[in-house]
Amino acid sequence: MSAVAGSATYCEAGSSQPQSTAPVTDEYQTARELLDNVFMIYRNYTRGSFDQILSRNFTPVQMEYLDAVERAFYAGQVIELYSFVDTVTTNGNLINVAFHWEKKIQLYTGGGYKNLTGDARYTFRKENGSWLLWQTTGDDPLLTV
Amino acid sequence: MRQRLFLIYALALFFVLSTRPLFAAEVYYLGPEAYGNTGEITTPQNISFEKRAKDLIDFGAYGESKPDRTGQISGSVLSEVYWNGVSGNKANSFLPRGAHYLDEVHLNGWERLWKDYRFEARTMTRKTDDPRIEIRRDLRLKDINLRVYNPKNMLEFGDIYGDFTNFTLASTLEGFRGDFKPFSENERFQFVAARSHRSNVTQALYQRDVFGGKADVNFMKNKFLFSNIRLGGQVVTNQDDTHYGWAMSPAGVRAQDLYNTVFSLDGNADFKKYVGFHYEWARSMYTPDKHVTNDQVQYGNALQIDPSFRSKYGSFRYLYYYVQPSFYTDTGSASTDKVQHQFNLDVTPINQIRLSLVENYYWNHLERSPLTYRTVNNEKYSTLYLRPFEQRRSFDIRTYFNYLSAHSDNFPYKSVDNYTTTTGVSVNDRIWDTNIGTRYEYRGYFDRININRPDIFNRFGANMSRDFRIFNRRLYFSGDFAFDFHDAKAEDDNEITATQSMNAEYDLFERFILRGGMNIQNYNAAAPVSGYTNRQNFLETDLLLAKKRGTHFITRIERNVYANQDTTQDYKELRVVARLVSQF
Repeated sequence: MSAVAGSATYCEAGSSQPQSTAPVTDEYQTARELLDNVFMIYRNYTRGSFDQILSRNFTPVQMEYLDAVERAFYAGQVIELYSFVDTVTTNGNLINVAFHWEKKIQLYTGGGYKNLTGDARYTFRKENGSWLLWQTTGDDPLLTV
Repeated sequence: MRQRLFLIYALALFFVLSTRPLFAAEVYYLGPEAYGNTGEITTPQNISFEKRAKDLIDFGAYGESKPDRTGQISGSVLSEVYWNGVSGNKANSFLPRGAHYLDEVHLNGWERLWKDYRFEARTMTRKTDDPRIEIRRDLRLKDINLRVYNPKNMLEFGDIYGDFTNFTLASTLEGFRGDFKPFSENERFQFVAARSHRSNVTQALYQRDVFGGKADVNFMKNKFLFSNIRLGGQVVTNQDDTHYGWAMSPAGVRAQDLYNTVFSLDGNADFKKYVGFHYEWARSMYTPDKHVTNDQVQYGNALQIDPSFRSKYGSFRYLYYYVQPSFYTDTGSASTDKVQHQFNLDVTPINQIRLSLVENYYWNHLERSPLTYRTVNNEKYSTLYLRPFEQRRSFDIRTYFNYLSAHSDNFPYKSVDNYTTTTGVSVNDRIWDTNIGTRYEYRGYFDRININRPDIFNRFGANMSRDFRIFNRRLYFSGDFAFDFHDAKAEDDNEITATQSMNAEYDLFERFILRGGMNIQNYNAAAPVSGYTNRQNFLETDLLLAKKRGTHFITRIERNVYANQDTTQDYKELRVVARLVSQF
């Protein structure tokens, strides 16, 4: 993996989660870490690295989402991206995290500077021991420019 | 208020049910044993109320495993105060100025019930005066989930995730969800009775109720050539609840009264070797607004067929995806007005090599589509992963190539005719206890209609991380460096973005950690007065107060400086944070 753990281009509220020595089975903690991982991969986005965190069974269509994320990434420079987790729900091997977000972006070629906000939901599915992004709904920050 | 009443009711119900034998007349949804000859359910151990209460509030035994424990309450607390200072163009900053606080309590509980049934509860409450996090300042019940279950049956209430099939239900809801195997492992029944969102008069939204059921039957388990065949049927209906006494928002927007029902049949057929098959066919009925007299019901179909072949050396998968323009699913997931053929081939001749090839062909503008022309997309995607040296498993190479072309069918003047090429490579290794990686990606977008210039990116990056020992204490350091060169179609000059970020963590004492980081992003734009430099730095201390419960006291200072060539856009941010977090 080319992404580096612990790097912080995007400063997030609560991003410095301590390593607890007590056993943690908190679904909220898991969802927070999965969300942070998506944004960390996106910070150093390449198609090859983002493809690895996406489920092959992404719904509705995996390739369409991969292309859309690439188009949005190459539409402008992401300066900051914050997220705030609201609710976490689970169902078997699925974990859904609802969050609201703020994003600061500078569009390429003089397109201007934008502050964007929205609400989104990411669903992760456990496949072969790894949590992969399986569904996104709402105002997806990776697609909004 | 309603949420608090639900919680009080559920907790009261739990305390009543768990302390005395239950009679069949009271248990109308839990387990086949409820309908036994005696009509009576007893806890096998006859656990006393005192034992249950003692176990529940025995916080001193946190982290210990007691086999005779009947229940537990645990959780975590977060308490944070912070001060934000913003100068310059304050409108460009997200941070609210001044001092603020944030408190969160996560509460988890479980209790052993009769036989093998178990009760679990989870809540999260939050209180803050930071408008970025919560608009309201009162105590917010963000999350509640209660469930009673055993290995075969489950009833859940609160914030739930309904998952039937992609076309029918894959969405978060508030309400009830049940999952039962009342007869054997081969039959499964599920239901939801919930809402997808509450009413909101400001946004002119009625509460949307969701009701649905699903039945699955498995057969041919390990018989003949099959490992399993599953057939499923499900139906989900979404209806707006209009009994609120209002029809318009204060701004004069009329609320719509939506109706949507989706029915589907799906199934899997898995052979013992090599071959698998999955399908789903769905039909929807949809009315955007029942108030509108000529808003007729729209009917639509969706179909997904997915055969696959697997062997020791690879797999092949074909996906046929067909969704009509009139198909609508409010709580499911569908890409409408689409026909897609996708072929996936994965080859793993040896462990050190993985090759993946994808051919993706899809178009829109099906019958009764609102679009005026069809866009046909053809995509080819290949990835190759190599780990050439078995003795050096840390060294790997990943390369990929993607070609996507799109063209419309409206001749002679096409609306869409372009292609995008993306290719890249990454190399990772571990040398002298240091993890290192490099990456490169090229992306070119070529528009055959507006043939001025293509839009081309060349992006280079490198990263490293390492653990050191300084004065016999651990120091972790990581760095990432990136250069992006953008040959923009609308500009003669190239745009260059340079980014570097570095982070470090030092275990100063056994219970005291120092963390720090800096990130600099410099964007040299081709357009006039558009470039900027963004600097972000932070320093953090982490004091471990109690090891058993993971109690940490954290202080953090952040400094962000945004400097644009248009100096009227500049702003600076300073954040000072103190945080206490602990498990219990």
